[in-house]
Amino acid sequence: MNTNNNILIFFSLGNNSPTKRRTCRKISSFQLYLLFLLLLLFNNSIIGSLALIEGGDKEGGFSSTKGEGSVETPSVENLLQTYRNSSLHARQLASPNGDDIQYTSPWTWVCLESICKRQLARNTVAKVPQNVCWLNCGRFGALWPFPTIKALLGHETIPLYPQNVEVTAIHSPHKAVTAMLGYAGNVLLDSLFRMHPKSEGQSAFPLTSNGRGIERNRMSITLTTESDETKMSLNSDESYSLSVTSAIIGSSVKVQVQIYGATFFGVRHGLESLGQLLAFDEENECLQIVAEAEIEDRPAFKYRGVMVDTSRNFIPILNLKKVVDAMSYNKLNVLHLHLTDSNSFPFYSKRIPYMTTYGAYSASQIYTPKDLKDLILYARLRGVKIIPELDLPAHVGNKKIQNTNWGPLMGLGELAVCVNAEPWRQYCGQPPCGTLNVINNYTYLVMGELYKDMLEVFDNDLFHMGGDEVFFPCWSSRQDMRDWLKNRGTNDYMDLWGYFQGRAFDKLIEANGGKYITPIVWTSDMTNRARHFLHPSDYIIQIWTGATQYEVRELLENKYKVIFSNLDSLYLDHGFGTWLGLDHFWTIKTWQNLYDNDLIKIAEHHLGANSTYYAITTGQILGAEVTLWSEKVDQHNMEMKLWPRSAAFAERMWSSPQNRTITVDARLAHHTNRMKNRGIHTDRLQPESCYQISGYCHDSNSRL
Amino acid sequence: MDKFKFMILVATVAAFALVYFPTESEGQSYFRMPSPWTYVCKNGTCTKKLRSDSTVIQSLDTCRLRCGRFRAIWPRPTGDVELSRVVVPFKPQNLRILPVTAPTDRIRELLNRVVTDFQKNVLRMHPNHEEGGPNPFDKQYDNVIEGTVVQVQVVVDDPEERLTLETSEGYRIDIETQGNVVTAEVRGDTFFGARHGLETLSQLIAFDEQRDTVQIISAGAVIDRPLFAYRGLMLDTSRNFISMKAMKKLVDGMAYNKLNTLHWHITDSHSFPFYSQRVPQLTLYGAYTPEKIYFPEDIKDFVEYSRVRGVRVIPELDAPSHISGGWQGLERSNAVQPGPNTIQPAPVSVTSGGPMAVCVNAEPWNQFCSEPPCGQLNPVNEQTYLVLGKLYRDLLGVFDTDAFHMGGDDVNFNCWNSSKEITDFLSAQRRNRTEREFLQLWATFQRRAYVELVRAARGTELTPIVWASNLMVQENIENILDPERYIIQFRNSGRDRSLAAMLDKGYRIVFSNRDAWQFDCGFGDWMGEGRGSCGGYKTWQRVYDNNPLRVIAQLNTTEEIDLQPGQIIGGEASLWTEQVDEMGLEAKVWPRGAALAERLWANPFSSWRDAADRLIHHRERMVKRNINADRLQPEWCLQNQGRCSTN
Repeated sequence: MNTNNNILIFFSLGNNSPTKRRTCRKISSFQLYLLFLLLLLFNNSIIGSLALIEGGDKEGGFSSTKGEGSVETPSVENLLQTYRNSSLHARQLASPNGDDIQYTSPWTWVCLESICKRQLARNTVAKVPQNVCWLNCGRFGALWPFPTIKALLGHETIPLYPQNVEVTAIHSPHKAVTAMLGYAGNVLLDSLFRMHPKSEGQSAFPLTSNGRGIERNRMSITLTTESDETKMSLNSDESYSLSVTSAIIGSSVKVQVQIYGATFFGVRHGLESLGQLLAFDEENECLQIVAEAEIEDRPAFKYRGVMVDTSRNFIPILNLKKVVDAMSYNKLNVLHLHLTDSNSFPFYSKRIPYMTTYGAYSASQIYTPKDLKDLILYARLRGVKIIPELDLPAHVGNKKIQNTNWGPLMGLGELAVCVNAEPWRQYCGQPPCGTLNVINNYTYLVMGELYKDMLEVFDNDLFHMGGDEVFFPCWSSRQDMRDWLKNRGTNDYMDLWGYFQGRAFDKLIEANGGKYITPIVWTSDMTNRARHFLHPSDYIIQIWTGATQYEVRELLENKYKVIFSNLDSLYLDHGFGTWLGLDHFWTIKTWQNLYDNDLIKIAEHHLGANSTYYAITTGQILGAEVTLWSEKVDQHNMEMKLWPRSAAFAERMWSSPQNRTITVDARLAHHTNRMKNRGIHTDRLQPESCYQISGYCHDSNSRL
Repeated sequence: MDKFKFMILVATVAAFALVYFPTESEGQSYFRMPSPWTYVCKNGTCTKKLRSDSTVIQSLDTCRLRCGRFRAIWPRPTGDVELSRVVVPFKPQNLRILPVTAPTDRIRELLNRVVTDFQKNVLRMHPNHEEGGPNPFDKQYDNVIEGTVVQVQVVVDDPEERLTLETSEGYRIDIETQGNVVTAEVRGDTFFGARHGLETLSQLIAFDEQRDTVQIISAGAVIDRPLFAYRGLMLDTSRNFISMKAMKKLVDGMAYNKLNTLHWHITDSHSFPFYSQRVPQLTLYGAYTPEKIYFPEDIKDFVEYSRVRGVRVIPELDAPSHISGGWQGLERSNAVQPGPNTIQPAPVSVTSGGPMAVCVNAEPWNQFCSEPPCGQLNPVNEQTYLVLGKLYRDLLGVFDTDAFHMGGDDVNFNCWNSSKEITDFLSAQRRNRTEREFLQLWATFQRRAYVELVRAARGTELTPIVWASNLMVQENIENILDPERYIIQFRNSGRDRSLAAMLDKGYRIVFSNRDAWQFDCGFGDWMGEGRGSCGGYKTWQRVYDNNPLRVIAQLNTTEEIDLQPGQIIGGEASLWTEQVDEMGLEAKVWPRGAALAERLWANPFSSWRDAADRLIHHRERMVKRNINADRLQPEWCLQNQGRCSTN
């Protein structure tokens, strides 16, 4: 009993300081927390004074809130009586006489054929809100992405208040992991308070349930892992198991949750699933949790990424954190930052600050190392790894204006060529142009310093080296480059590029203190016809060409590890018109395109079934990544372009479903709604009636 | 677990959290501006240059204020624009709003509310401005800035307080500087003109990065009036609910673009969010949830909010098609009341003619309606007209409008043909079940509905608007739908020749041709596997270049179209909300709505290319004013104007 009070006091403390978030990112809330613990140790009487007042009514137990299938039309009087009894969602209307008129919904939700459907409520049976209906409707209830090994969900739900939910034990082999688990547990507890539509970050839940005994129900969570991993890598095991059991003790229910994860990241995914076994019940103004559940789960693919381009338009850290939040709701695990491009250089380089001075859009559009470290930690605690990209040798430019005083002034010579060259079509893939001067030795010096700056900030196991869209006419327009080739006895500029790539890789290893680091590069002319510059045991190739291109087959056959970002399905920025002119070629990638982008089928198309099995089981196909190039994206519209389409992608990558059944639409609509309630600005896929009535909005022949 | 163990655990977690989470104190100072860049006005655009290569040091905002024929004004004025290149820095606290000159107290009150918004928008120019936060200009400036005063005088003579299709929205601005006093006079033809004038004046003010304050153009004049009287946006709130808060933000955005009409497609077959006092059953069974209802006082507040921003709100009650949400409830329970104190609804009894709504939720839907869920009013049931009349009265009671949209699109004859009551009715009158007879039935419905509307208007003049349909191209339809009265909203493709027939009959037209002015296109098929409805996403360039007069000129008709003056009253972009709610609303409307606004305000001969630089600048201004407009280009293009276009 007392332990519960501790938790309660902690939360009431959080409520008293509205400027601090309860997720404990700020140190001050921890200090207050510690202070309180000390007080508790020495003065037990505080507990009494702050403890909850127990409900006065003696009527105990809980009742199932589920209605049965068929429903009859209620009489109007009874219906109105039901409305008056419900307080939370009743809309108060001022009437001419000053009396209150209340207005509530006549609907209840019933699970039919794995989908929650709307029906008129009977007054004799308690109404089931849509959220609660979904908790255990169908095989997977409200879980998104669905578990891959086992998912058993009981038919009952238990009403609870978030005040009575606590993490009671954390078992881990390392104190750092324990601290991380404690944090992840708090993220969940925090989200429970926010399920109340009126929470605004503060608890809006009542303290007693007027005799229904909800406040007596408790839930305790145990978190266990045997791994001391604190940083995610391509070898991290993200599997977890989750069990929920409920026992009636006297007049209350005790819900026990056990989460076991192979690593911290597995436990975190388990906590996310637990959050999806809970829902807000608007009829009783409490939470409901599935009473019994047994889940075993692991992802089908290791690499489930989202790429955000921060160069064409700057994305503030705050908004990147929201991307991380939403990724964690979908168990996506890699955020790839396309940090720099020819448009701007927002990364603050400690060693070469001129890059930022001349490259950033403005002083307020810069990522400092401190900002990035903060983001990386924030992401790691939510099961997301951040991978930086320094795109070279093309896609550079405005950071190295030829006639600025810094390059030549410092005796470094020309670092980039064709900067802002026009007509741009002759020199690069899109304006502004710019490619590195790869025969200037100082270029490599500068690159090495930049690599060092980045590796000081980011994890040092994976690094994206870019390497896309090198236009040889840029180099061939210069006499010194032509001479370089002639001296080497070749006329293929690929040799120059290969020379660059080799030196760049050496610089990267050198910046990493001589230790190997896995580089990732985009598919390009080099991956197409000069693969000898990229050894399959060194490089990971990120495929952005169409999935059926012959090149994909060659990469797979040559045993390259690959990540798919095939532009025919995974480019989220397509479909909003061009930024360069009137015409536009690419149409939007719908959520169905993303959901159907089955890597196994793509591989089978190229390799046949047997080799595909081998490629998947050996991890040669690491996974996939959606890309959000930001020509037409910034923080103001980013979320609607990312979500919910990336959620569809997430289930493809985590669960690898055989096909897309009709219930997927309804489950996705529910998950989208949940993301929206958690503050993500998701786009809308359908009229709300499709979500409420579920089923009529599907026309497999429609080709709008 | 006992209490002690638990505390140890918590203490451990907390202690390690202290170690593992970074504190805020380990700060490091990074570079700050002055930036190495300046912007130089060349051939009407601002070009980014190194400061060392230029004699003029100014930020992009300052450059835009001083550069080009129309400076930073959006939409471009149609009259004379003569503005000095000299700017005067001042601080917003020294903005003196002189008492407005107005003919009535009501106009004075409205103007004062506009002025409040104007002042707020000036404060929003500071990059550190936060809504509800402290005034970022609250600091000591040098003596020159502290001593500079900007006086704003607003003058209106006309007492008109309701925007109609006849209202003059013209204005002129005169600015002059004497010593350290800048005087700006805004003279509006009406309140609405003055409001537009203040909007333009706010666009003659910009942030000055060097001095950390704002600046105004020192002298000049702008004379301006719109070329089209109807400059609208249509919002559908039935397929997905849009909260009042989001709708107010939409109106804010319209005000920044001088759009003047919000056409509110308030109900449809998906839901019925309008709270009807006389027929509350419709709302009870038709609303999505109890929170997703527009109550009368909400709407009145919204109409007033819109009026202050120069926006007229026109409601649409779509009939006889696109109904269902709620109507099925009418038969289900006759006496549902929301409470003891509302106006008692007269019991709706089904006497003859069958149910009021037919083929509700009928499947397969594509035989009975244009999109699911199906539902169509029953024109042979007398009760239908009674209920419509009540709804019209409810709507007119809360909206203050000179025009009313009666819907009238997508009527499905097969639906009516499937209803026994309707076919019985026809055979009783010895009419056969041909398309011609059903058209006749529809026309009769429209005429009777209009009678109900006129009755509900109680003598006030009310212009009916209907969607273009094959009803309007019938012979002698003029006898039923009077071209003198009706306005037709045209939403087919701009190449559809039925437009010529309607023009020929003399109907006034609002342009909403879907090949350019439908903003919800291109986001995929909401119920199937297609890539996007109505031919894909409409780019802002396409929106901008959709000149109604040119569309008519390019119609491939045999006879020349003889346009009457004022026959094209304007245009409207529609946002149907199958795939829109308030999360994506703003990105889907803006800045394409701004492109629409300039087309309708100024109808320029030039194409989008001449407007691109001003538009991306205007988009940034909208973002500063809290509108989440979509991004059109990399910021590089904003900073390097004129370099991001191809042929």
